[in-house]
Amino acid sequence: MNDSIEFQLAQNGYYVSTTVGVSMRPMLRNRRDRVIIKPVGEGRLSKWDLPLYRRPDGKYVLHRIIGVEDGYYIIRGDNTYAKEKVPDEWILGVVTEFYRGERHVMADNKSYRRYAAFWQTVYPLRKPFHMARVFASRVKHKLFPKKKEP
Amino acid sequence: MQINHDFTIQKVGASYVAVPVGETSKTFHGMVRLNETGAFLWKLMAEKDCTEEELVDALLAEYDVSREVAANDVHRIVEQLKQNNIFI
Repeated sequence: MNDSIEFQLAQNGYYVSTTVGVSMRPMLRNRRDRVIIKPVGEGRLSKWDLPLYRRPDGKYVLHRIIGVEDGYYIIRGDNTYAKEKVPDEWILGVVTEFYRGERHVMADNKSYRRYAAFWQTVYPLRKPFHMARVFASRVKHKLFPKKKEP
Repeated sequence: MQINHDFTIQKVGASYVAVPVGETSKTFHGMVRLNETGAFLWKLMAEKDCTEEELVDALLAEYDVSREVAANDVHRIVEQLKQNNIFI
């Protein structure tokens, strides 16, 4: 039986799932929150939308659009620090609503869109803190390496 | 029968869809789609351990159907959920 995300989207017109990983924190938490994804339909997606796409290596990714270009999007997770160029043909669907715990949010909700825009706008401020944390973690592991089990 | 507490239920359009979070999401990959009746029974079983008889009685109190129809619906839904390891 074909139970791939693509098949379920085509058959049901939607796909519902929890999210896995930390790349979309603080908005979406690992294995706690849920997203409802629907096919894109006519037209292109907009800045701050959350598309579900599949990379050529087969991995499914749910990150945010930060730039719209001809034939592709510039995409980055809310908790990641690298941009990705995603062609239109990789896109499977887009988040139309989500549940953060019990709180239901529509993707076109104005407050939510303002949060998404704000979070990405302050990226230049967030990145130095993130780099400092990564550096501090590396120094810590150099000074206090984890002891291997005998 | 009681629904595994890791399952959440949400309305999508005219349907209800249940998906797991937490540990169960590591092993259960998919969605449980329910109609109005299924969602009604699901919510009862999510709250507490229920027998089929209790579910039939609840269905009869909520909907205008015969006991035979209610019993058939409950049994069918319970069996489907059992086959998919939804219960604790």
